[in-house]
Amino acid sequence: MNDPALPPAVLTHPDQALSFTFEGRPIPAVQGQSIAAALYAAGVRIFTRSFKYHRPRGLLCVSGDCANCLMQVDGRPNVRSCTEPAAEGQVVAHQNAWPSLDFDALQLFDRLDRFLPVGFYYKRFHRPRWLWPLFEHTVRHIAGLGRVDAQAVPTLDVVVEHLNASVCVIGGGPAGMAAAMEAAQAGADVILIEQQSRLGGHLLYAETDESTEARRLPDQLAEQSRVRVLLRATAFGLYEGNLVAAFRTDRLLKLRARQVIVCTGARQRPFLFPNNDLPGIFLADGVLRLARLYGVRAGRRAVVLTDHDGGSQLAEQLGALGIEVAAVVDTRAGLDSGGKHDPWPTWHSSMVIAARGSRQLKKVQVARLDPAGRVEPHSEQEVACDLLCMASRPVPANELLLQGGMRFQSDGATWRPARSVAGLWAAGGAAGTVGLEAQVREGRTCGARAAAAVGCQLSEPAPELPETPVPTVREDQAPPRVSRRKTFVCFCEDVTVKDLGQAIAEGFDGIETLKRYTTVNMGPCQGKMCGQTAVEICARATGREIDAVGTTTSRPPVVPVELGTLAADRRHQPVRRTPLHHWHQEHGARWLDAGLWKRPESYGDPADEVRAVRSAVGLIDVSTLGKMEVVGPDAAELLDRVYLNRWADLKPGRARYAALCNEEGILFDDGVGARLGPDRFYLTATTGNADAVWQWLELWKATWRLNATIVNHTSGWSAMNLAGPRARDVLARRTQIDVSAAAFPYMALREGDVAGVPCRVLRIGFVGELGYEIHCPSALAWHLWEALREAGGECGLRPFGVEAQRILRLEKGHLIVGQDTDALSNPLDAGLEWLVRFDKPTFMGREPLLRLQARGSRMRLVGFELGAQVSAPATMEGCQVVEGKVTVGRVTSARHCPTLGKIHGLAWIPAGRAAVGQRFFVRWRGSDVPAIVAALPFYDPDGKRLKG
Amino acid sequence: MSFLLTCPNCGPRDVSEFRYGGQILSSETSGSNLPGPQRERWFHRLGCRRWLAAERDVRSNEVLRTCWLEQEAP
Repeated sequence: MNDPALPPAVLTHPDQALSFTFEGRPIPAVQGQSIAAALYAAGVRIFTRSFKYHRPRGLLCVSGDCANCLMQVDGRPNVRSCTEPAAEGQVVAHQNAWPSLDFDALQLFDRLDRFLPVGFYYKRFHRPRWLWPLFEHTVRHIAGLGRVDAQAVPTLDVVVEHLNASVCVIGGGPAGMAAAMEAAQAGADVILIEQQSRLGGHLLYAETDESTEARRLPDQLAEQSRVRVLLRATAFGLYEGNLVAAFRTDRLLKLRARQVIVCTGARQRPFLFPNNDLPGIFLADGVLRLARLYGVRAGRRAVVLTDHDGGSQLAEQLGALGIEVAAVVDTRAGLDSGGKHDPWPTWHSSMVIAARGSRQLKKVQVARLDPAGRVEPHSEQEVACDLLCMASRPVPANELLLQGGMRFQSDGATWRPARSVAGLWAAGGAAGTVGLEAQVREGRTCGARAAAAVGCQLSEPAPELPETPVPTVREDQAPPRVSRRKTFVCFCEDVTVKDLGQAIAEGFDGIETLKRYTTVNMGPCQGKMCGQTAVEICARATGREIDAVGTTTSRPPVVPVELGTLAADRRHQPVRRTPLHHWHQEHGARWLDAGLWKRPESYGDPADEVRAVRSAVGLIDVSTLGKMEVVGPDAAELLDRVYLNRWADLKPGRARYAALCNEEGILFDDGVGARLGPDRFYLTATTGNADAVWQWLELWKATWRLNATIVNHTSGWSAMNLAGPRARDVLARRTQIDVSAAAFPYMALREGDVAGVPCRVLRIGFVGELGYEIHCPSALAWHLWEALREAGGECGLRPFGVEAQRILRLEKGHLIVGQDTDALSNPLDAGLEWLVRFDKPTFMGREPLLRLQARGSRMRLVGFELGAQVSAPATMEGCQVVEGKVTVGRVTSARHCPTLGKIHGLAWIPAGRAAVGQRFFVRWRGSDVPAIVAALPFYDPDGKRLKG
Repeated sequence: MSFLLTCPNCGPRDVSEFRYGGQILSSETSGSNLPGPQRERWFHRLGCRRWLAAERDVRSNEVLRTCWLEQEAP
């Protein structure tokens, strides 16, 4: 609930109360309040247990930057509860603690820290080697954050939104608002991305006496039609070509901008002293955000710890919020300000040297330090307080700028852009600029210059970027020499000052190696709290300048993004359905995914469907086949150069089995091609490769500049295969085409009407029976299908699915490209050497295939008969062919073949053992099953049924 | 990778709309996988579905020029 004593909280609606549950207990909140704020108001102080030592952790940044408040919300793990809005009925639970946050059994580790030094997992668990799996299991169980609920159904339907803008401004603080305003006024279309639900940035929570002009910017922007403001949108990456990646609750945004202005501000960071992680120790801005954004007071009596001029300002603000200020501790030597009448003492050259309290801050120990950083004798004193506000100098939030290629230079106090990048601008705190006036001015300048860069006419020339005053820093003060144990640099991963020192002493003294070894920077906050501190420690320990140490590489995502959001692109896959889909559906089809297509796997019993095809006649929908027409004077030339077989001598009205390789001689696809006329061919490709084959033909047509047109008929035409000993009877009832064996032989094509539908009929036999593949315009496919079914009723016609087709073709020993072949299979080893016409002067893959032919096959694709009965032989597909313990090959197809009463399959085995009658073994479910190489085809070896 | 390619038909488009079709190696090209500009084939998969040639600096992903594949010297 909102604290009534506080000024109105800007993000909340106090009149709209709601309630959620935390560990089963109801928590009151108001609309707009964050989960953590409501919990804090309800008395919760420990929000998480730390990663390694399970130390209690409370709120720190209240900006979604650190990992101190991660919770499980409605089953979603690792939600940053300090910014996540509370909602009615939410179920909030802790993570990484057992049994509870207040009492965590694993807090034991906090006392064992001597035995868990930095890199302990690299050092401790190597010997004995057999214990490693146990260690690994235990460590994995103990470490880690939230748990993913594998059963949970995603509640959000995330979609991708593509946006375009001339200028994109990231960050809606003073600099960002000013930049957006200026660019829009110059005529540019602008998108402004802001994380909060309101514009304003730090103006929303920090009192400033300057620039009332900046406070008017949100209203002015609302009236500026050229600016589109996206609130509650978080930019998490800046990619090449100025592509901004961002997310909103249910949207993944991909924003392409010609100019990007990054105004992501700056952030404070923790000071270093023992127990600096106790609940009650906040970043100063966190206290202000908690109070002014969410209406919750962080404590009653505060100590302010600062290293810059912001300390006394903060103390005044705390006073206004009704928080008593016990003292201001300033690490700088006294800048004799004189005549101060503050009601609190200000101690210069001083430092908090320890925080006390077990689960919550009770008091701090403060001491004066001499210039060497030693504690001055008798200067220690204890101050009782429940709140410590760390008002550090701001560190630029420049991650996106670094990703965009901008480089920064340290001037000792902050980082300033050192190298400009075309189309990328930095303004405000992110550029290291301090002071509201300067930030707004810089924003305006960048806005104007970005608008000019996209061709807008400026009324007056854009000013140069202002030189901003460097904040007063006194670097003569050495860091305090206090205990380094339990002085945390990285709160996410529990890395202490001691750990860093030790790692540097072990030789990990470059910032990147230091990061990898200690995992500093590698937690959920990605170095937002610890990055700068680690750099400074590294610089000091190695005697280098901060610039020389540099920073670690910034990579997307800047903030944690849910995998479901990133997968939004993949969630919405199109589905392709054949024109007969509804018929299959109505007739009990079990569906099979074939690429994007849905195909009927069977209509019940595949073995029955097989018997129907072998004994009577069957009908299968093969509309998913790739269908292409190649037309033009160079059509035959193109096909001859791309395919393995010969086309020039193919006579009109005749068809051929066809296959093609890529440039390496790897089998790419197969199908059937027929000649329709002198300059006209009709070809099919496999379902999965239809588009790839079309692209392949287009590619070589363009490369060789051949005069041919390739028309892709895959969707426009449908196809069905009528197969079985009675196929001719059925077809004859519905067509005037002469289907007699003499007039319409095997491997011929006829064009004519079937059931009144203009068709191309190919007499081919993938399933090994007399068969006709009938191609027709898709709009008429249903009519044709029904007509053939009706005609076939008396002949015992049965529709069959893909599974029956697989069995039928296996009985016939036909391979399926992609199932029986892979990215290493060439046609010679696959048993298609009869197809490869080396007498052609050139074709795709000719040279590598010639080399392979000279070398001889090492592996062969062979047919086999299983020497034993096994259940579910299809599960053998993918199993290894073994010799003893050595894998020598693999099974690619295996089925029980009802016509032959045996289990047959195809397998890749060494060429030396590929002779018919040789035995080999298949490792299947833990045992070695004997198999015998058998001659192909298994069924109708003379092809009498096929050609009759 | 998120650079733009200018399709001769469709204009500047996100690289994700295209399919990479390999480097164009002529007899003068000394080798592949060298830093600097190289000639490549791209297919505008989610656009006009035509092949184009592009010259791209593989160090910066800057696309220096594009044209139809037919217009490119082999």
